[in-house]
Amino acid sequence: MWGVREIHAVFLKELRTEWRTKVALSSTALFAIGGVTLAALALRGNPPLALDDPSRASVAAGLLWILLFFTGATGLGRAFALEEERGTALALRLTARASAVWIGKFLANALLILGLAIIATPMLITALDAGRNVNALLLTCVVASGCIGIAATMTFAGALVAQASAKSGLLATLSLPALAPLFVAAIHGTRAALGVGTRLGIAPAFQTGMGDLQVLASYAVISVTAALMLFDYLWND
Amino acid sequence: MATIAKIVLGILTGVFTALAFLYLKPAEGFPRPELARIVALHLPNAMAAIVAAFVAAIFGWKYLARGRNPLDDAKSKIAAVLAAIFCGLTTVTGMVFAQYQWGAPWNWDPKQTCIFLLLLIYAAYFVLRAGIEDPEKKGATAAAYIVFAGVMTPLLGYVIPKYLPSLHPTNTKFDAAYHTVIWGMSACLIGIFAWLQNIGIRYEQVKGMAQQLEEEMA
Repeated sequence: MWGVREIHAVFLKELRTEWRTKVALSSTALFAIGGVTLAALALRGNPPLALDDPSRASVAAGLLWILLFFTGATGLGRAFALEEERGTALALRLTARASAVWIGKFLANALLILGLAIIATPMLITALDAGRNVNALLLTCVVASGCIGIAATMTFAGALVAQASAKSGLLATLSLPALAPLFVAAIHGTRAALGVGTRLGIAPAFQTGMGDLQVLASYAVISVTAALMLFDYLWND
Repeated sequence: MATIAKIVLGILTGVFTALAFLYLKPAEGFPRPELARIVALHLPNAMAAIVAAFVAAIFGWKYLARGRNPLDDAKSKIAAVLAAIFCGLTTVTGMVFAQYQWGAPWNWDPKQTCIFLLLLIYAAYFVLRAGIEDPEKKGATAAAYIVFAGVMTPLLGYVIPKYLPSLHPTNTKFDAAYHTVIWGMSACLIGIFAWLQNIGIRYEQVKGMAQQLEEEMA
């Protein structure tokens, strides 16, 4: 049922392929580190911008999601494009069902973006000195659910982009409007986790960010379900 | 029969537009009540945009799931064009409203931003279509994207603007006359959408026939 072995096989194949070349891993990691460095240089370089705590937290929340979006757009779209370029898509079609292929690739992408978020989030918050009133638990929940939504949408958009002749920039163009509801909730939730508009303590922060978490969780469920339903029609074309 | 329907639609649209500006009383509860009558055009455009978005998604789904009929792809594409136009009209009428009620045409209000983001979804859809040459691949890929975007539309159009703090009033009580004009105008705009959709489909059919003829002659 659900082809757990197939999903596992596709997932492992994705990880092994990535481990052999490390192209997505290195490019996204460099992109994330470069993005954090530039943001810190712009906001904290001499003379540093005189921002109060809520302003700094709001800027950090916006930059974090811009960074995660473009980091994702750099590396997450390769999964299907590579299959088309190498001519391995047909072999994959013959060995695994469509849903297993999509889930396997989605899990690998989710792992990649979550790994990058684990590195980039504390780096950015520390670099911008935005973590004075941080609620780490809420921040973890918001970033994790946001990353799952990004991975789902970008894995699906990656399958669409693989069909196009001009792939450059298309993944970001297609994903950004589709990810808009996620980003609105994620930025609002991250601001709450960094203490904007909340009193100190776990409960008040969760009270402010609960609506955002609900939207992020709904987005993740809806995007995974919609992508799974639609991918079948694209893959078995 | 169709001609009579078009004449009736034209007359009704004219009547409801005249009612919006000449009959409706200033909308109490707004900073400048006499200039708030534009909601009688703004809300119906938003409703027509949502109907067009769902029509585009439904025909996209039909194209994917029911035998890849090029006519379904054409219907989905034309509905997406019309959804983009109605989104644009909603944004413009909203900006006029915001200029006089909130002091600036653009305030980054969640509802304003969400309708603009819907417009971006359609822009991305046309970029995707332009990036694929094979007609069948183009149809399937674009249909998958428009269905995916259609599923996200309620989140963008309803959920996000509801739970974030907004400049849009939530306690304004429109009287019965406003309800009549808003719903009447919405029905007219949806009728205009259906009419334009029909013209677009016929245009696509003629274009397809011309292409076929060209291929046969070559």
